[in-house]
Amino acid sequence: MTEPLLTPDFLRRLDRLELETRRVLGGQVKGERRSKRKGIGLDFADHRHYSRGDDPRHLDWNIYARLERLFIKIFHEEQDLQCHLLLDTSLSMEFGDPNKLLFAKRLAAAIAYVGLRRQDRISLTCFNQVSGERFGPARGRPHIRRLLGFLDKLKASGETSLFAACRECAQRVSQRAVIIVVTDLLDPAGFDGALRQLVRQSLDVFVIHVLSPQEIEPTLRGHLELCDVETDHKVEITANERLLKIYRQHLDALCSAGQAFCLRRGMQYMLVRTDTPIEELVLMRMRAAGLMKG
Amino acid sequence: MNFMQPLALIASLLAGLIVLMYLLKLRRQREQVSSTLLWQKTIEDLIANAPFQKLRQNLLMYIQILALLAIVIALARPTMWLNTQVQRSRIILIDNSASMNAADGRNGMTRLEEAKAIASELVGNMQRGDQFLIATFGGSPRVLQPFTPEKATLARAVRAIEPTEAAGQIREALTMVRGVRKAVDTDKSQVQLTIISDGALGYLGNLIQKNENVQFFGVGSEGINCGIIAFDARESFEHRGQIQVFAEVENFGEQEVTQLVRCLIDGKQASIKEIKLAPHGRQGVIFTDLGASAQTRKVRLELAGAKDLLACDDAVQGVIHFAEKTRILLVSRGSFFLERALALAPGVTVARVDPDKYQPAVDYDLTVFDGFSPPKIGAGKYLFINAAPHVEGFSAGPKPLAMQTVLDWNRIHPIMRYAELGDLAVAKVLDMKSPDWMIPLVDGEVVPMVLAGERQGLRIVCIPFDLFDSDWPLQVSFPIFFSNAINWLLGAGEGSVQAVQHLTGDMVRIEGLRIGEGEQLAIKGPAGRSWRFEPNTEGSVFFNQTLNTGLYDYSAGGKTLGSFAVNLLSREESNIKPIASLTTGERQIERVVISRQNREIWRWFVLAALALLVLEWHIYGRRSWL
Repeated sequence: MTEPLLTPDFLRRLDRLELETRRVLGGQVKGERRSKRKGIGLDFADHRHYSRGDDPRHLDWNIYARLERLFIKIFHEEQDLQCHLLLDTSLSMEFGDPNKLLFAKRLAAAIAYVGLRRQDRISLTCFNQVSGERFGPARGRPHIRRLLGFLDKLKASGETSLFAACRECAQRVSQRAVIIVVTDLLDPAGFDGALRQLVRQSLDVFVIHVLSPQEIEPTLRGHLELCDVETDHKVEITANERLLKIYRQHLDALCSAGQAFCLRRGMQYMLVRTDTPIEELVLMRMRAAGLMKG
Repeated sequence: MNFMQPLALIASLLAGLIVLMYLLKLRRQREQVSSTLLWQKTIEDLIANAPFQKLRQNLLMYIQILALLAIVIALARPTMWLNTQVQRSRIILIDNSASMNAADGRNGMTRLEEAKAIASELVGNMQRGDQFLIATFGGSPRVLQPFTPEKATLARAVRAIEPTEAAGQIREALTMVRGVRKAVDTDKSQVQLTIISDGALGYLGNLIQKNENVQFFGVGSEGINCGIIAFDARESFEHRGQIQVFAEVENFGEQEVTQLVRCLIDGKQASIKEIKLAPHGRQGVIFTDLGASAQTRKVRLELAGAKDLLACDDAVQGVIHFAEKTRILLVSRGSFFLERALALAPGVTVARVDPDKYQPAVDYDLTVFDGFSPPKIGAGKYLFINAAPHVEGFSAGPKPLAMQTVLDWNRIHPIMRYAELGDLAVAKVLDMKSPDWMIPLVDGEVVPMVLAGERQGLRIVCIPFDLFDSDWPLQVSFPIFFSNAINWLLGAGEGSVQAVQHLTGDMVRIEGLRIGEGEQLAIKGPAGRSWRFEPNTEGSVFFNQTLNTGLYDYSAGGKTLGSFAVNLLSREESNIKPIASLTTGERQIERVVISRQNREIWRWFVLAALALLVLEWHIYGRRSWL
């Protein structure tokens, strides 16, 4: 029996969390999140003069008693949060120990679980060149089981197509939303053009850069023929200290470029090693980064 | 199709090397990675930062071009001047004469050592199919190694060459190798004659022909030397029992030198003189009236002044045998000059008798027949003048030969020592035939004019003309000749040698030995070397190991029989200044330092091409780190 993506203990701890966004967003339906819109809700916002047709249930009778004038109470309307998860399921994610795809699936499951628990609209899109499987949009706890089942069945295939995934997401999402991209950014076409598709005032974008320890600190030695799992492209190397040092410099440059790009465009960037405990990542680092609260 | 070098086909086995290289091709371990994106950039960065990056980018191309060039050059059959020769056969004549002992060769070597080094180098550069002959000509020519293609054998022969203190015998050596050359010479390849010497070779005449392939390697660089070139020691004519010594010293250097000439008798200094010698000057030194008391005296003369490059000509030795009373019977009708000449010899008593009254007698040591020949003679010592001995092999023609002149004479024989006969003219000479054992000493136009020889206890000197039919008695050579002749005829005493001193390389005959059966004659040389010989049936020993100067003592049964001295006394050897070229007849052979001739080297280029291709393959196999 395969290990569940999220352990019951971790799920219990996730129950206390909710998705956080730096921007006040407006959903399509009533939810549990205060929006800018005024309407029916729990949080008092203001008073205004009564006018014909207003619901008499919202009259503030206390003010009428003091001033003998009719005022209507206005509340912040509570709406749901739209959260789109873009999950890289290309073959390059099927690498590392701990496996990058498994780690990404756990992370996506945790985020989606928190969102569904809080009545947020959650959708999950897997991107690779072969298939574009999608979950949602879904809202509410009844979808949690289905979501976990969906993630469980996900398999890596094809090459990375970050650009197509981001463009499709940007076209599909017309309202304010949180976009969480979980990828290793190892796209031969680069990530700049892809992420630029998501630069919009209404979108709060998180880029979670997932790398395995074998990618960050390779332990290769000797004469090797490196084979790309996605493209089958081969590179012959003689791995020595000098070569590995240059490799690490290029990796640092990739991470720094991703961070700088996100910073300039108001996105959040987070580099994550797959040997990081998922609990630590979600409960601590994501809360610190402002993606979770509670 | 034929192959010039079928052995080269063995090189096809190199294909195995190529197969091996492929078998050993660098096998890289395959490793899957999530993406080669960063690795590709890493490799590109490594290439970009590598030194001589531009060059490295095209390194394989350069190597291929070099390999191609090597093949093209090989096809052009390049040649180079190398230490080798195209001759298939070579005769190496190495001078190991006295002058080769001068220590002015390269790196402090003697000239002989340098010559051996050159010979070794020539042997080392032999090619397949070559054959060399090694010979030396110090003292007497010797073939140390006949023609052989074996390098090791030839090198061993070269190493075995020992120095001598004898004069070089290049003429005899050239004569000796001439026969060998004719046997080996072919139309296509001529034997090359290589002479390694300092040039103290004397006159070569026309011994080397114009078309002969001769190479001359010169050794030596300086000519500083001062040596004794003439020496004689004898009992004084005026004062019997006293010794007279004569020597001539020559300076062969370019600087004036002062020399002390020290005379030692029996190892004790008897006299000393100082002489000054101008550059290339020579000076005679005479020591007279040196006291002596015993019968035999060993005289040594040595130069005690400045040291020079050659030591073996700085001292000479001589052994003087004081003459005992000798009786000579002159059978003649009267000859004033002859009687005077005979009486001049020290310790000699001459008795004259008419031919008619002649009776064979044993009381006389020597019998001189003048114009008369007894019908029978026994064993003894005889001097025949104007008469043919009645001995088997001698015969005189009915008519004498008129007006004969001297063509040449033997300058080596002891009888002819210091005798100059160039102006001798004779009106009538007996047309005499002589046996083979008689050696002509003076050659006339038709017959020999003086002969000497010995056989079975018979020792004869023969002058086949009347002294009064010639102008000889009036010449200086007349008394000298008779003095020498008497010494030679009387010198065959027990254990005696023909002369008191010999030149290095001479054959010394020790005769009249009467030693017990089974006993041997022991000869002890100057360098501590010793030899043992058994006398022949005539009681004589021939000794030819006179290659070092000094005194040689011979003894038998523990009893010392005598001594003889061996000296260099050679102007050619003492003049150690190296020559720039070898002159022989009309031909001049320039001195060469080392033999360099064109040699094909295309094989090296083919090997270089192969090596370059292997290198190219290797770099291609490891191209990832380029």
